[in-house]
Amino acid sequence: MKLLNRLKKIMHILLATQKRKGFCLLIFIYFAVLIFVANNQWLYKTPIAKITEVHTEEKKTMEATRGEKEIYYKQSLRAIVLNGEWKGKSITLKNEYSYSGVLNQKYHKGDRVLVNVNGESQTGGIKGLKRDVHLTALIGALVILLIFITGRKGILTICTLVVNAGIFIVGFSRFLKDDDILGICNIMSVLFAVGTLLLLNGFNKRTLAAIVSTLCVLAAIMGIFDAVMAYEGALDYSTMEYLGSLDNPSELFRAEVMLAGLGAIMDVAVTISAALGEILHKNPQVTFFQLFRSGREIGYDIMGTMMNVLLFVFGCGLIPSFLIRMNNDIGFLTIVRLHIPYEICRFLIESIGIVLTIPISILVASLFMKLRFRPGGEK
Amino acid sequence: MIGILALILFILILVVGGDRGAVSVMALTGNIIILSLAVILLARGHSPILITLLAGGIISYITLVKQNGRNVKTGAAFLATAIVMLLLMFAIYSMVWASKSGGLNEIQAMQEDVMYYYSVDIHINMLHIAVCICLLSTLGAVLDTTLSITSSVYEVAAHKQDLSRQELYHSGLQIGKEIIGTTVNTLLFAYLGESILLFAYLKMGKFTFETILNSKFLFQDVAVMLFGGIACLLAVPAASICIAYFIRPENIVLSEQ
Repeated sequence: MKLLNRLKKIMHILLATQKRKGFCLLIFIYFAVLIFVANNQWLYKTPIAKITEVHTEEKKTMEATRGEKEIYYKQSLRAIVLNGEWKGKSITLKNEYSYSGVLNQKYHKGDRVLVNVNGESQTGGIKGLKRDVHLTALIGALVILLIFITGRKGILTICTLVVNAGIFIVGFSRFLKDDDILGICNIMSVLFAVGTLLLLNGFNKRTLAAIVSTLCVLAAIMGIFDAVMAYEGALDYSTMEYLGSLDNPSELFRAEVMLAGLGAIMDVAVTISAALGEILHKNPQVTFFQLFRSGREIGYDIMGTMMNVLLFVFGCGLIPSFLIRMNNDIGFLTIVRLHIPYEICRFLIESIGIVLTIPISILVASLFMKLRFRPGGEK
Repeated sequence: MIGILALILFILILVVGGDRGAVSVMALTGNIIILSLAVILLARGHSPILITLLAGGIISYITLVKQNGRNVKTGAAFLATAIVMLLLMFAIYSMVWASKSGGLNEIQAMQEDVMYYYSVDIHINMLHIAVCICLLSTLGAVLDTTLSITSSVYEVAAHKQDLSRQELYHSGLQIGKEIIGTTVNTLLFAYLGESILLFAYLKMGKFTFETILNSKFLFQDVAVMLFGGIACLLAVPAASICIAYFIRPENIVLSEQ
């Protein structure tokens, strides 16, 4: 009885306001979706099995690099198939993993795995872990935090993410049918910039200025990229990751360069044109030179940290291949020289883009907002 | 190619940024050196989590204090970053552990050099390395967010000195709302740009939707982006609380001298 009263009290506090009600509903939906995804094996064609029993034993010890010992383990697992032809049957699976786990992993009781079942012998092989639950959990957490912390703006942000992903999927499927990757990429960049900025900031002069400056910067960095490529000769793409059987790596690389920095460039352009718009709004008599100086002041503040954002996003993904190569007697500098020139090149071009955005967006924003009747596309 | 681009970047930073441009070149170089050192130490088999925490601390110090001076803004941003990163470390660790997404992904593992030439017995726990990658790649975005918020709240406080802590906290949240949208998009595009080749590869190969959805390559890349977004969102209230708590009228006078 006491517990019930307390529960009632908690519910009362939780549902006190409209906002809290909405938030509780959101959390409820989140967990409902998670439970659904965790049990969606009936949607799968691949058999899915739940591991019920695990036996782990040491198998062998290998000589590892740096004079260490690498222990290999053998796991024999029992699992119950959850869907398809063999639903409800118990199967045995085998798994092998090492301490490092570069190519393999340990499985635990309760894990759900995609398997291929081997007929009547009741054995099977593991194809991989069922990761859709984890993916949903992360996406859901991001969505809930966005709505909880930034409110209406968060919903707009989610809209931009969905719209951008949609543009990307449509553009990308065109991309591999047609051969005109560069044309599609140009259209995609324009759509990305216009869509994101309009959705996030609404239709006004500042947004227009930001869009125009983003596109100008994009044109400028691609110009620099092409000029340098023409001067130096094309890069050697043979050591690029995921190359496989692609026959047009240079075009794909150009598309990568174009898209990777777009977000950062938009970020800087929006910040500067919003700030300059605010200054002009407060003091319409401000001169061009004063505007330029304030814009530069804001630009300094964000330039360094934006380049850092890109440095860490691009740089950290390379760590695993660095570790493996360095432990196979390839020097740090050799890897830098031979294996990651594309990443370095991309980072440098995006950084050039960020720095160029500062003067260009100051120029465009002042032209747009100070001289009312001049079209801003001076490039 | 790289030499020319680096030269162009260097000149542009100096032309556009002047003295402070030179400082950011130095900070950027410092961060690259720390990141390289961290990779070298990791390759020698030192504890990944320890190295990550150390490298993260030094990088934050360089980016905040060396680049923007020692004052109440950078102090609050440093503390907020530390809080967010420590909180996030537990979330990332449990997520990476549960999804078993350490090591090389399926496509990297199929590459010729890994299959035939390299030994993969490197005695480094790749699960910890995955945690370290997630943490470090979000660090840049978190530093950006916390510094933007603390310096904006500082400006607000400098212009209007009679605001209470509560009001300062709310203005911090308000500023956070404005900047989060573009930050999340920055991360999205960095991720999309990085993965174009991967997507092209997937389209060429025969991968079913089920395989892709549950694959390690998708999860590893998307998790970095999603954790980046989550970290920036958490950084908004953290930075607002820190700066609202730290800021005092005498601080403002001091740092304006």
